[in-house]
Amino acid sequence: MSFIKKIAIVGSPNVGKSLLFNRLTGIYAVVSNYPGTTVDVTRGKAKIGEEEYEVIDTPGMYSLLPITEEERVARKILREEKPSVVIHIIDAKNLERMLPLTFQLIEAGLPVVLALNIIDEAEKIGLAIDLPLLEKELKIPVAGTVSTTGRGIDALKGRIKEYARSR
Amino acid sequence: MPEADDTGDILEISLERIENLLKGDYGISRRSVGLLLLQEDREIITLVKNHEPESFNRIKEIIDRTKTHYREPLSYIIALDRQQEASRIAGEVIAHAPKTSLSLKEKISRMMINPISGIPIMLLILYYGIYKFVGEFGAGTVVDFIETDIFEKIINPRVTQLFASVIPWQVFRELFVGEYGVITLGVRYAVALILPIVTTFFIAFAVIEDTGYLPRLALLIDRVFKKIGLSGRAVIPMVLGLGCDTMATMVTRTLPTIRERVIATILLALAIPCSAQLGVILALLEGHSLGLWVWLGVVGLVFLLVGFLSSKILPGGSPSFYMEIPPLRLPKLSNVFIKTATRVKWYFTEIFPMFIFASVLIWAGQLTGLFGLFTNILEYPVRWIGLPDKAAVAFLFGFFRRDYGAAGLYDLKKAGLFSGNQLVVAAITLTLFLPCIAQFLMNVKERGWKTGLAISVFILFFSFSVGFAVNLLLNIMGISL
Amino acid sequence: MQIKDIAEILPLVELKCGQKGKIASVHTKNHEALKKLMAMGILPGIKINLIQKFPSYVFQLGQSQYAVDKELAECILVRIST
Repeated sequence: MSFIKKIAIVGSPNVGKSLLFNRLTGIYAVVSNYPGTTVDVTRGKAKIGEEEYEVIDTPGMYSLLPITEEERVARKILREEKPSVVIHIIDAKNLERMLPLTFQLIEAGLPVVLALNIIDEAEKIGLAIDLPLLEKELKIPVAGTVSTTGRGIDALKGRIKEYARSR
Repeated sequence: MPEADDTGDILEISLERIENLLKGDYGISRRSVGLLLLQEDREIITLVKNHEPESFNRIKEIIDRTKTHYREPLSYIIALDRQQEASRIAGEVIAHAPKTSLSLKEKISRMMINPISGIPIMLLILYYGIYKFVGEFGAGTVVDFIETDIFEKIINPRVTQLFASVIPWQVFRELFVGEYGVITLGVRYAVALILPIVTTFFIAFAVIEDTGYLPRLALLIDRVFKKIGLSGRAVIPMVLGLGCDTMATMVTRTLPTIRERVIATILLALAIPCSAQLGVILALLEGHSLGLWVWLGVVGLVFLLVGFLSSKILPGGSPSFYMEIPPLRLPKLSNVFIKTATRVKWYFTEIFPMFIFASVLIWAGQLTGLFGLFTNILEYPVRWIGLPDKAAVAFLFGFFRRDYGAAGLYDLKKAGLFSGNQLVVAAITLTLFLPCIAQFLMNVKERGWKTGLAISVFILFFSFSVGFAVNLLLNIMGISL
Repeated sequence: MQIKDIAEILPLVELKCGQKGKIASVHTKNHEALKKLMAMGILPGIKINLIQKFPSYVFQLGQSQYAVDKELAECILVRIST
């Protein structure tokens, strides 16, 4: 039994989950633009700071109360694999509708880091999001990212490093 | 998190009482488990029942009592609470200056989902993406090049010569370089025929997928799919099935109910030709445009009819359709390339051994005379649908892989053994005919032995019956295509 | 849910294309349907804009678009904004 720490990436389909996974691990998984195509769970290794992690790309989920098989699988991973960090990746444009899952993850006692992905698209349509204020409201680390270009990924890794150390 | 406010008091008290009764480790907080129990999550209920047998009844009592206080389901009350909190926070952290005019992407998207412009767009995409690119370019140009210029001119003669000098025994030479040899048939079909077709299909599919077109197609076609017991969601496995039915059967997992998965599996096995098969059939019917329309009409009709009947026979309600429509995107070349490569690789590791295996089986079958026996048996239904006896061999190949069978017909056509009517009947029967070995195994794996086998038996009889009916109809009406 | 002014609340299926509003309530006896709608974030208070009615109901919800069939669309009640 090795005690490698785990990072689970969760979020609804189509928010750039698989791409974030690739950014963190450098291993390619088939990226799908299509809601619900990522049925299989992809795993890879990532080095963040000095620590090596196993990164798990969970199937798309909208809520901790599952409707689909994918959501059941994703919840099972969260419950059974005891991840050291759970990255909840959301579409920054849709913060309002995606926050409820963040709440549920925090409520479940999971070590959540929130990644506001595709933040460039949000900016493009004229949304400005106050990240420090959001952090204060949620009491968890928050980072703005663009997984297609890699913007904000280093900041996200920094937040993960701090977070993993503090827990 | 969203703590109890006006609606929450009773809920919050109940939740606390449940939390105090929970002793086990669930991997998530007790509060979370309590909330899921209140929302009647079946998996969690079973889990708690096993972990806390002594307090389970009391927990159940609390849940039931809490429910009576609310008109709506508790999951709705809880979600509402969370959404209010989310809206509050979002309101605080987001500064808003949205633009009002529609972007070009949005305009294109609207055209795609409006049936008046959307159906022509769909037909254009199918015509250029599948027919022109996969059918004409992949199955035509590229196949011709690899088959004629590489295999027939370079590889086959050399390999035959090499084996002739290395292996003195005729029987073993046949295994590798005979009429059905591992190299001259197995490798040639796999590399010269199937590889280009499948690769071009996966390129087209990856481009279509990456633009975000598929969800738009799904909403456009939902009403039609409802008639056959599916929802628009099933359009993804169906389109993917045009590439590889085996892979598509695996993807039926994304459909929400078992009923939908079974219907989709049947339709994939019966009426959706895979790209390999499609390519060969398009080549088979080349120059018979009327025949192509008859083929398309009959297969389309079978698809709708069998779907409709399955939806009537199989128990369960009609599915509902809901889907997120992601923004249109320009596909990235690197993404398309990597996706295609991954899928082609999956396809080949899955099917290449099957080709070799089939060649060996056919060789062994011929050697022992079993092959001849099966061919003789198959000659009856083949004659029955009005085809020459020689076509039985192609149908026997079809047991191993559907496209293998279609490719066998292609060889017969080249030899000038078919009339127009016979070509169409053969193409229809073979399209509907048994799923290939890989797909059969996937059916069994995904749906279980009973369903998997039942589907195959049904298809075996059904495909020949349709062939028979079409042949009869053409003859009665005196049509020769 | 308090319905204050009946006149300005309509089911989604009765909206015209391009009409905007806020979701007033989600009304269904069918728990499965309710769950699906909730999973998509269709909850009271969210801004909604109907884009298309046929062949499927397509609407903008916040910054994303969704498509649902008639049965689900009938469950969504919208408070029209004027």
